[in-house]
Amino acid sequence: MKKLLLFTVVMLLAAGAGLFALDAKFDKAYAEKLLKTVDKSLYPQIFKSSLTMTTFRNGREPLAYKYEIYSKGADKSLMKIVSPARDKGKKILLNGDNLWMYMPDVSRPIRLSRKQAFMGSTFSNEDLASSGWADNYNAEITQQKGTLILLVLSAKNREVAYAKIEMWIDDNAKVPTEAVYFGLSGKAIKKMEFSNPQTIGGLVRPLDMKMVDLIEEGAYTEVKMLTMEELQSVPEYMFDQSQMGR
Amino acid sequence: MWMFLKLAYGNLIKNRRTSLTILLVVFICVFVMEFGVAFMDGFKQKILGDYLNDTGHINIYDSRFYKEMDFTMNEYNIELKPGLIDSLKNQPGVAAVKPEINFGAIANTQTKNLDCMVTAIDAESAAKKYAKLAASVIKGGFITKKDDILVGVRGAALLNVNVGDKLIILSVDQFGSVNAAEGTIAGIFKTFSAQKDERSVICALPLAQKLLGMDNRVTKITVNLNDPLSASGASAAIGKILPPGAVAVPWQTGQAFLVSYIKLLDVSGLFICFLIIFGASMGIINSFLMNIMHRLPEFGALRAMGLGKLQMFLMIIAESFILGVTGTVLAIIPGTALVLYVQAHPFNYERMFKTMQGTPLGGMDASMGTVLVPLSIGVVILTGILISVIASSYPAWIAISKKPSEIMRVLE
Amino acid sequence: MRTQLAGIALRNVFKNKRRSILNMMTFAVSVFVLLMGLGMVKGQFNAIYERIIDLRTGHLKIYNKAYPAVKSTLPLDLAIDDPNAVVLAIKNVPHIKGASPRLIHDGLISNMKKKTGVLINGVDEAAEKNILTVYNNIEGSPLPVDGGQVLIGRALAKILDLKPGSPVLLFSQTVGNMNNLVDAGVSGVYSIGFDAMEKSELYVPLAFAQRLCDMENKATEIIIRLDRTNSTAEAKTAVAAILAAKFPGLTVVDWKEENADLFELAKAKMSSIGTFAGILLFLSFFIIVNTMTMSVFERTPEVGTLRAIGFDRKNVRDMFMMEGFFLSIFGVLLGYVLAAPFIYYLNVHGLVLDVMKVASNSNMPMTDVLKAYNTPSDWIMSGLVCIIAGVLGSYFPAKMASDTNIVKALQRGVR
Repeated sequence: MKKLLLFTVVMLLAAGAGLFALDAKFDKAYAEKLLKTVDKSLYPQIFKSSLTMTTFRNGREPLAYKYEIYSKGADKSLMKIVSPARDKGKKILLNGDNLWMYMPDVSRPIRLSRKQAFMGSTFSNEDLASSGWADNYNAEITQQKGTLILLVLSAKNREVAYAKIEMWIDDNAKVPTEAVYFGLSGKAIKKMEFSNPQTIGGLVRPLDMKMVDLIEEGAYTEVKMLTMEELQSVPEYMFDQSQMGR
Repeated sequence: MWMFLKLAYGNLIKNRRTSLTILLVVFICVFVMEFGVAFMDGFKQKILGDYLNDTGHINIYDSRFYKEMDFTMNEYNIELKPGLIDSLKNQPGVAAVKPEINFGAIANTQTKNLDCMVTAIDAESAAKKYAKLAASVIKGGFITKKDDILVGVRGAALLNVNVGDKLIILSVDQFGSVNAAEGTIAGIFKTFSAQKDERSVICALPLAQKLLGMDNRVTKITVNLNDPLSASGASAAIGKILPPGAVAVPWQTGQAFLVSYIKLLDVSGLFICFLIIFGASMGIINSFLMNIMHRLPEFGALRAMGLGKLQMFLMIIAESFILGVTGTVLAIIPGTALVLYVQAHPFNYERMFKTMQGTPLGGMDASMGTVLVPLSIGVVILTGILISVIASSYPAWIAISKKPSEIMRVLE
Repeated sequence: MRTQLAGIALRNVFKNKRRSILNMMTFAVSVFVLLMGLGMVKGQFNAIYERIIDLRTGHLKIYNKAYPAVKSTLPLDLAIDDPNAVVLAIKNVPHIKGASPRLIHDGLISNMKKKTGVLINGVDEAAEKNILTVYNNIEGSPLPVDGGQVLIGRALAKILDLKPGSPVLLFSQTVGNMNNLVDAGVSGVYSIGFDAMEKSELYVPLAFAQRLCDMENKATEIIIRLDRTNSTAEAKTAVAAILAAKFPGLTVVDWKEENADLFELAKAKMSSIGTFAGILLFLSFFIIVNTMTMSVFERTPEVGTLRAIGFDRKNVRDMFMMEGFFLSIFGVLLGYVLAAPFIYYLNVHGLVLDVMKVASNSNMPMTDVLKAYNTPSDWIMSGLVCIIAGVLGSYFPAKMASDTNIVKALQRGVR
């Protein structure tokens, strides 16, 4: 019996060492740099892209949108709804911390609250409006599984949406594969899965994402990037809420 | 019999002053009784009438919407197929059919946001179907155009908007996405509920349908009947002509608490009516008692002259009967007139109590009228006459049960 | 002369016992009816606001000064620091029966399948048992001092299909707007017969709520229960004085301010039922006047005799009015005696109405007991009304009687 126990402990230690032993290079500085790279890959510079966003909820028809997006830097993007037909012409503008919705037959853009869900998805407006993580989170690498490393982001202050984000990152491609968002209590609230990494604009970016709402069973939103091209410039008026009707 | 009435009449004429005083007592008591009872009926009518008119006698929902009422799932709605509203209107006993959508939303102006509850109503003859609400508009007009919006007076102040201004309503559409629609403020209403005046918004149906992506669809069809009490039966008939998946819910089921509430009103109302009737009856009894006691010597003399016990008993009762009937009839005439007047011109408590804000019970306000219910009037008339007769039987019994010599000695 | 007249009047009252008893009965019945009527009317009014005090507001609440103006948004940043120090400071104010800090914020509850918005009340249940009646009827166990346990309403339990022991998730945002999610278990289900509240309000241990909202040792309010509602103004002044001296950032509001809307509603209800009290008042007054009138008219011959033996008009009038006065005093006292047991029963036990057991779906919190509520002022008022009616009721006929020609008055005696 004692032998068996000892054997188990040894095996566990061995397995643990193999799985979780961190390479020496994964220090604090590396982690911070990696986070900045991830930020760059998720929030490209000047781009035009199109994507579909489909939300699934138990007992409901899937809610599918197709957007055409112009973005500049991490904190500015304009999303135009291409389909469904009933919402065609609607635009959503992300400008720093602010989110605006424009509708063709409403005289002025409407400012949306950060707490609201984004267009019926499992993303909150806040999830979209946050302009990269490096500003608000300290990064630390705590685990390594082959080429995957676990980047743990902890909030620098208590005024951000999530207290902690655990992000699995492919160290070779420098793209995330999964991110789990935690509340202050340490309980997971949402989980994002990244897939289909492609090289666009010199960086490998995950083109598909799936955001799972852990509070509501069966609720998740799938984002699929259809096209993505780097632009030389985007006119500034695009990101001005007073010009959204143009 | 005729003789007793004649004799009684003679007595009444002789004791003119006493008779008039008793008549006055009967008159006032019956008058007050009638008014009190009619007022209580008015109170009940207010609950049954006003409140139920607002919430609907029968409400038609998609059965899934009704099952999950607490979650207001707008995706479970009813399509307004051609002819559906008309066939509902043509059901026997139906007074009005009102398609509606109720949903939570955010009213938005350039600088302000206000969480509100929106009721979208059919603009066609809206002012007639929602007469109470239409009457509460203090500025502007009622819903007439397809993008009309009404806001309450407190909401208007919070949003800093006025009649003619544009207002954006933001909500989650039936597909689950965020949507907005813009309308024009057609009017501002002031009800007697502070909460409604702040958080309630009324808009035209097409505006809400556009906002919620519910073209030609509603979440609720309200059917009002000529007789609210027939809702249970009528809902069964209506259920048969509804599209599959829709249910008709009579108020007795949908607002079950109201049944108990009305019962409570009945109990407390009866209690107060009982107190009024009790007080009035005591007044009448006392007057008769005093009158007859005072005249015991006279009755003694009559007995001594050979009037039989039964004859004298009947004579006294006949006197009271005449007084009771006369007083009651005299009271019922102006009583009914007053009841009808107050029915047409209800007391407005708001004027009486400036601070009054009214009740959350739907469209109830601070005005309070009476209602003429034939049955109640009958009860009052019967009570007036019966009390008069019964009130005199006790002294009459004393008068006949004593020996003539005994009662004559009562004279002081 | 005055005392002599009073003596004669008193003797007259006792002389004609039957007539006096009849008159007194009129007064007694009027007092009885008035007391019952006023009691029932006020009882209805009282029932609503006492229930609100019992269920929700307590008698007084202490807030951060800036809180009441924006209360509907449930701000967490306008909190009370170190609420226990405040409770300690006001604990000994006269009439305070209990005081307890609370933390209130909006959030979501999920049974993992469905979620719905709720008001999360962080409370110290053991302390609040002395303050509110919400905790009186609980299926399951009371809340612990700390830990992830929630007490939910019966209506919410029904909607989300929960029972004691069921696991739930609670979601809320912290004072810094950070998202927070915690596991919890349903410790108990409370029933208060008021659906609107049972659906929307849930209770968690205060310490747990403080962690959920990231507000260690803070509260959004302190709820205070007094020994009786009548002491509200007095206790409020005392608490306000302590706050001004020691905690200048805080303010105290009473249950009326706290629930202005509901209070107005109750007043509206009261005024309509008050009309009935008015009708009763009028009726009593009239009946008394009339009875006295009849009683005095009958005695016109007596007036003649009195005048013949040398009473002047004023003497006669005064004598009758004094009789009216004595009769009403005795009548009112008789009425008090007769009404006392009924009033006691209605005030203490009330009428139990089974119909109200199912009335929980209402907008108003209602009870199944219809209680009367009588204050000493009711007794004084109903008594005074009857005495004034009695004196006035004898004044007019007495004046008429005394104005009558002596011979004519005497003639009426031998008709």
